[in-house]
Amino acid sequence: MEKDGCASDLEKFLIALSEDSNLRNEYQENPKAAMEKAGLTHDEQVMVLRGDTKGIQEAIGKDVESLITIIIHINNK
Amino acid sequence: MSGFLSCVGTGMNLAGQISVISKSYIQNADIVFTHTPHEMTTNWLQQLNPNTVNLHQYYSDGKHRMQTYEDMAEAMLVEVRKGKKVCGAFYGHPGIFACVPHMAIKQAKKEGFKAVMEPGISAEACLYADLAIDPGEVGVQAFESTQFFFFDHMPNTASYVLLWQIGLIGEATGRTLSTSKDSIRAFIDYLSQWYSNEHEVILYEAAVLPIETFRAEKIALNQLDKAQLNMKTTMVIPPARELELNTELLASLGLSKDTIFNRD
Repeated sequence: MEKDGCASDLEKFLIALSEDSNLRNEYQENPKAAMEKAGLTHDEQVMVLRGDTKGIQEAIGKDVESLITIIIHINNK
Repeated sequence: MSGFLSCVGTGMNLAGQISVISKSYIQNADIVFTHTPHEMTTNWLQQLNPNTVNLHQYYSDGKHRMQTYEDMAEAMLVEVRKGKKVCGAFYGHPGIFACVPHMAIKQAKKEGFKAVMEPGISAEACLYADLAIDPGEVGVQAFESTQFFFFDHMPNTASYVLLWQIGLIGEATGRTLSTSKDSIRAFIDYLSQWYSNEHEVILYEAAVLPIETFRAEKIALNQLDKAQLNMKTTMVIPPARELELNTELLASLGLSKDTIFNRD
């Protein structure tokens, strides 16, 4: 991350997990240890392990699943 | 003309799939407009450049999608006309299934401004990695699903066929983001011209968070109306037949099957 901003430990961890191959390897080998090291709470660790994106959304206060596609639609033809 | 527009791709999976040059365009812009799969990516972009505006604000219920896209492009162009360095940061690849960057760049150039597009890792790029498909092996055709359905495209059944936005199949109003069981069943019937009902297809979704795994659900074609179809679902139709050599053409070139496959 370039700047600290106001991201939570959970958000920082998820961003780092997408950027850092060493962390990704550590997480894949021992997810609990990687999350402990990143300072995640027990509840956050459970959400991550479950892939609970709704719980993560609530935890970080952001809409994690608001996927909206810019569509090339037939009406555009 | 000092205004400048860059449209860059952020990749599919949060922060880790963006290119170095795309990240630089974001960091060096006077203002960034974003269109990303979730707010976490937008927040990350705001950390790269605090002056970031979310284009999602232009969506509204009942508004025609083309009007939304024109409004998004115009929002970026207004800032370009002020002489600013503007960056549009779009998830995936900014030129694939994304009309706004194309529209904005075309208009900016028409008005005499410099405008560039930087590629990003698209859902299609992820698909090849996740499903271990090499498009060079037997070839790939790709269509927007409803366009494939309505515009008489012909699939090459010896190659892979990728049908994007299967979750919107038959949606013709431009005002909703869903399909219907009737449309899906009609599409199954349509595909039965070329594929058996039991032909195995793959419902694919790229991961957009590093804790997610991609979706690769294999189903029989005739089970499509019972499957979960989302906005981001792509249907992959594997080949239904082997590639066939054009022996007549080969002969006209003085070639044969033996000569083209000979390793000696």
